[in-house]
Amino acid sequence: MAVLKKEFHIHKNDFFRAGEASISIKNLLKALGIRPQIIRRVAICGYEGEMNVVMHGGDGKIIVEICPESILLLITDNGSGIPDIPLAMTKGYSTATEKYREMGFGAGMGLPNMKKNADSFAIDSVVGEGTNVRMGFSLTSKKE
Amino acid sequence: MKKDAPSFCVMFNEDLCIGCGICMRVCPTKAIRIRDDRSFRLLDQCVGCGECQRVCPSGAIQMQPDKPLTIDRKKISVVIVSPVLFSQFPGEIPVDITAGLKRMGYDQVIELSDFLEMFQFAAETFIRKNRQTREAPWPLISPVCPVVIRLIAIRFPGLLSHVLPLKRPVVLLLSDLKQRISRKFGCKPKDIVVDHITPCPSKVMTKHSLSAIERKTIDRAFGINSIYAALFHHMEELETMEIQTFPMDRPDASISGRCLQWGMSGGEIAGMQIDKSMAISGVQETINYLEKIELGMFRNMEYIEFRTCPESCLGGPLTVIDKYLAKSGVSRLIKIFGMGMNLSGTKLRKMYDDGYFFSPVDKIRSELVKTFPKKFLSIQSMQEIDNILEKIRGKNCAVCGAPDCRTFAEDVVRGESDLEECIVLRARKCAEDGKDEKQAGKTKR
Ligand SMILES: Nc1ncnc2c1ncn2[C@@H]1O[C@H](COP(=O)(O)OP(=O)(O)OP(=O)(O)O)[C@@H](O)[C@H]1O
Ligand code: SF4
Ligand SMILES: [Mg+2]
Repeated sequence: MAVLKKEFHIHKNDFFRAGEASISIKNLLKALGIRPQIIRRVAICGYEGEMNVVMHGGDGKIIVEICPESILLLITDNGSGIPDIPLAMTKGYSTATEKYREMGFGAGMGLPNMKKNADSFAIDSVVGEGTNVRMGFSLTSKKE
Repeated sequence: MKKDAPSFCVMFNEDLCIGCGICMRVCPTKAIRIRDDRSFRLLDQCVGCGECQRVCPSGAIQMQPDKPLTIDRKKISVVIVSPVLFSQFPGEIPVDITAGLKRMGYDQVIELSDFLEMFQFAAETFIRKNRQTREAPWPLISPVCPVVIRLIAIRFPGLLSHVLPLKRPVVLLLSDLKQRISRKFGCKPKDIVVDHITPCPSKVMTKHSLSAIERKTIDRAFGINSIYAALFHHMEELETMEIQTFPMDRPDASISGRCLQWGMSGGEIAGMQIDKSMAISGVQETINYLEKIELGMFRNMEYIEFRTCPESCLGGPLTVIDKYLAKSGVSRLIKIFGMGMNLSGTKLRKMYDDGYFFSPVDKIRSELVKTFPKKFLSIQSMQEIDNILEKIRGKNCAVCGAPDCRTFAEDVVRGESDLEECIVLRARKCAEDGKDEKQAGKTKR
């Protein structure tokens, strides 16, 4: 079965380039003719994930696997980890610094948005070691 | 000079081409290929942005109308002028420019002030209502620049739903233009010639004009650059005469600051009361921001004015004078003309409620999709492309005739180019063959 796998690096505090990986992924999906509605959801999830690594995480990477029926997005980092996952998943909860808030981030909506936009969502984290977010998208999904 | 792609007015002159390939690299939709050093091929994805003309160091690429400007005195000649025309003669006021056009032989000069005002009113109203209805997603995108819309159709189809579903100002003007003119001059619609003078190459590409009404009503479109010398001459002659000998129509007197500002970056939103708006100009910037909107950024913005020309239409490829000079002159004029409104709000509101301003978006979208057919790749072809890239390990030298290695690999996989065209692969092969021979020589000795 044909699977296309790509990996992109994300660097801590590299604001300038945050979003580039998600843009590459988006363009890959467009070339393959994936439906715009699905591309939109993958792009939003990728970008929120990238931003979280840049802002809260450490160095990390984003891996995309494209299969004939589904897309898998895996975002991992070796940052500080999340002590209380249910709390982090709460809408509006954020530990973003003042500096980030001034730039328009830190609404505490990233993780909830990722969960909402993906067809499947899983997060695990170990304090002091890092965080993994795994999201799946079905290519036959009717979700808008 | 030969016309390459019949549907567009991108004219390519092989004799002037030096084969540098710069045009190919800047093309935002990768629509250009140069084979055998100078045979220029334009693919269907051309959106008519004019970047290739802008960067060509030898003047080999021109975006031009395919009809000469002659005014038939036996017909009623009408000309619709872009607001940008008024910026091209610094120090001259708009009425003098219109008088020059009349002297050239036009029976009626139409400028867009009122229609810009209508458009701005409608856009403002839609945005205000959208705060409650959420009919369209934020940020809404201006429908004005046709190149932006084509770019969205080709590269960002997921954003088509963000495009404000309103008619462009010139379309508002065209709806019953010929009937009105025939009534005014007492002639038959077929005896009317409608010209359009514009800084915008996308208006001279008639087949790809965004709406059927433009294709139907505008007979000929000319770049400002192709009428400039003639108009300049007539304006100069006028100056030496008594101005009163040329009666001025009332409509000419109603040109507003809104109209003058329109061609500047931010000129569209400046005439609207929308705080959460921004203006972006230039092809590369436009693409960057469309990418960002697709990532979900700028959702707190309500309206974005995109123009693919640098500094908006004042930097259009068919303009004549320097864009910053034009901007400076226009800014001076705006102070004189003010930003007031000419039309009655009550009347505009009624027109809005009657649906007068809305465009048939679904129809336009499906037409766009047909105009720019997509050629998708399979996962297997994508892997083949990666394999080819791995094999080439090139430097995007573009000797193969494609803008970069990835596009070349795509062309190969699609069967539109040959791996043999890659000079890096050929050189490496040569070097290896040489080594083999040397080694063979050594063993012999
Ligand atoms: N990769 C990560 N590493 C460490 N902490 C994280 C990571 N991702 C999220 N968090 C924690 O979870 C909180 C909530 O994340 P979420 O993405 O929902 O909001 P935010 O990033 O703070 O704000 P927004 O995404 O709206 O800009 C963060 O403030 C942070 O404390
Ligand atoms: S910016 Fe103006 S002149 Fe340039 S392509 Fe767009 S509408 Fe035409
Ligand atoms: Mg976040």
